[in-house]
Amino acid sequence: MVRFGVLAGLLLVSGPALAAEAIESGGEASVSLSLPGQLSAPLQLSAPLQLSAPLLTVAPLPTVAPAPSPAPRAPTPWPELAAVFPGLLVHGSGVWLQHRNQTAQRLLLLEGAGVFATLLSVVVLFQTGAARDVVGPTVLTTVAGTTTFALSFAANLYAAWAPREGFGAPAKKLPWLESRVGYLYVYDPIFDYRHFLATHLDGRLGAWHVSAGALHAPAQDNQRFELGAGYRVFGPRAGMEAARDGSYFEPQLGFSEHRFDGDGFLSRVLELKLGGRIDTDRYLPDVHGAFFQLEAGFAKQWFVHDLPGVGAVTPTSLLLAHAGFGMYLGHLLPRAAGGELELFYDHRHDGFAGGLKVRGLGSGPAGHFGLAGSYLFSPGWGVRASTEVGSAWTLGLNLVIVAGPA
Amino acid sequence: MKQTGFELRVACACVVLGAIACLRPSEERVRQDESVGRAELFGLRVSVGEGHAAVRALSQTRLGLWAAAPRLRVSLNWAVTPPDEFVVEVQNCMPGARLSVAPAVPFAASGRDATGRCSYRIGPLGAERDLRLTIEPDGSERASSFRFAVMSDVQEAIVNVQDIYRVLNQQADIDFLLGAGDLTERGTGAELERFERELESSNVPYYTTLGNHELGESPTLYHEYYGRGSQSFEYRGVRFTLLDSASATVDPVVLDWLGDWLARGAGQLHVVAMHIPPLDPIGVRNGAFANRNEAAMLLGRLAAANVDLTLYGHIHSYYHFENAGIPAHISGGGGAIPERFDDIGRHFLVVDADPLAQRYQVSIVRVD
Repeated sequence: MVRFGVLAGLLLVSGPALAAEAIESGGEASVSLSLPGQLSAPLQLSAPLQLSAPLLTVAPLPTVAPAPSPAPRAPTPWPELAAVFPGLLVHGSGVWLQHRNQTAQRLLLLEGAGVFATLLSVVVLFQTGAARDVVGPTVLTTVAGTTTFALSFAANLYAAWAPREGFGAPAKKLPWLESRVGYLYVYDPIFDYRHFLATHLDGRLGAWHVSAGALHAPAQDNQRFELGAGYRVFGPRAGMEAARDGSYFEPQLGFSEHRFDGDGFLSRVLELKLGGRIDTDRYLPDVHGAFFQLEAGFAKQWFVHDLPGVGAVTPTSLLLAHAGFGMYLGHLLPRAAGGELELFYDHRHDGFAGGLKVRGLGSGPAGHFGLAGSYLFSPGWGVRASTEVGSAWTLGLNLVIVAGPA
Repeated sequence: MKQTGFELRVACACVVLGAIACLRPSEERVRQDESVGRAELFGLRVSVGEGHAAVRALSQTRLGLWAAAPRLRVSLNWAVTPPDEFVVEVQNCMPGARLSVAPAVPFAASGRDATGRCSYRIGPLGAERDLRLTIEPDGSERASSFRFAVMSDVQEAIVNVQDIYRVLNQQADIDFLLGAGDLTERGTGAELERFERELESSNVPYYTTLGNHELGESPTLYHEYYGRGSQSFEYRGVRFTLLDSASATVDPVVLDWLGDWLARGAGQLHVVAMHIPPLDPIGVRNGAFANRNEAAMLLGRLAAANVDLTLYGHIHSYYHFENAGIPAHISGGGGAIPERFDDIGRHFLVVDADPLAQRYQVSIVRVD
């Protein structure tokens, strides 16, 4: 029952990615976009889909001058301020003042979907007392609802504040190989470890993706190893063919082992998740250069204790969910410098950041927040930085070396 | 220029995000723990050993305590001339608790009244400026079999808690009730006082830690009423350790204390109780520690010290499982929003402990 529910929840969160696939594969000008915890909303594409090669030779159409944008309802800085308040409560307030009615309506719809899913799941949680057979999909719905609200608010801010063309464009092809080496600082008041050597390698061949990573603190008896594999159903891949934009959908399988030798235990996690990204202009046609990042999945976790007189294995499970709002930086010309920046919530309670500790009644259920960014200064190298805060702080800085056609 | 402004706004958002998090949310409660059982007024200094009682009232002639453990060691030190007589009142005292005073001075004991209060009139004190009081039931320092009950998560169901005490009072030979937190809905003074009034109908004292629902006030009021969130005591050859995990973590200072308590429990039957369990048997729910690694580390320490039994609350049902090889029981049957579809309902546990044989047996008693 729990497993069925979790799968149902995965579909809820991965809905946008699946719907975006329909956009990718079809030539229809109107498709259904399924939002987390929400109904379907018709998506009208304001621009015709671009085909990679002409199918017919036709006479060129007469040039039509674009319709002038309607005058804003209020001058700067009122729309930008309205995006904060009352934008916090009524998403799209800022862009409405900019006379971008469709964007305002869609942000409001997204907010409504988030609020509805949150309220629905909270009612179910209270009515069932977080019962074991329903709590998996219910918590996933709560996460989907609250993060949809948050993503909608972030998009509301970005839409009002950022230039219409955004700060950059997505990389439409990925490199065959991407390696990272760097440093991770972890401050966890419970554990003594602080300094880690971080290494990571991503390999891609067409739609296939494999990854391996390690974090190593030799002086503090702590090591973490990660392996992953994925298949990119659509979106930017390694190879010569460029994707339409940065949107993608990729089921992933992962395994990690985290050794706490000084504390006499290790954690093993086997996970399956659905990961995806939707560029904002697929849902908000006049909001360019940003994206929604979504993941959902399920993991089994085993703690293996190896202490004098103790040889116990404790199995448990993890709900995986990740939601982020990001923006592209650079990449405005082929092979130009560029990257991306993402602010996210991750529901994981394992790893270094763990779940969020707060004062008051609510510690424990929530995961952690983070900010991650990467930037390639040339097609060959760049940097990646990230920070996370949950029950620990982490700060990572990596040198990125890439090889391949991107 | 516009882009620079945007970057500044992003930086501000990051600072706000960082401010939300609190890596040691129970640090303030550690300081409160350390002050439990200590008071000084009118030249009289009171110290309750290991913080096993909260000082509720202190005047020149009277000390009021709330017992948080079955055996109390209290020291009284006067920097001024002591009064002729001094009254010590202990609420939530053990039935049959007896007072001994060193050096010997006369005293009169009232015995445990219907509200669970024991009163001792000590005096004349003469010139004695330092008194050491021991308040404990006869034979409680020796290992012998006994029973105790476990009840947690009353919260808003305080209005019906008498149902539980009625069934509890029908159980034979229960020495005390052990709690794993969530006595109240938000931990207000009125709620904590209401819990105390309702408890008066129980025939046995209630020794507990706090739960996340006691954290609705800042600073937390719990310690003023019921004593330490983290403590350890020994009773009839069994060591009991209560940990404050109300913030889904155990503070590093408490982990240091735990090292000492685990060492003192070596070779004994050792029971560890806390509110939020390190691991939720339903992992995707995570009614558990915020950090899985911390949970595993703590369980490893308990397992390495041969802790025999772990007791938790927080989840409003009953679960029996193992964590790091240690038997674990979650009992959140005090009446707060029950977990549905589990056919459990309100309940408490009864533990038959046999410290001489290093054995125990846990049984569930249903109330509804």
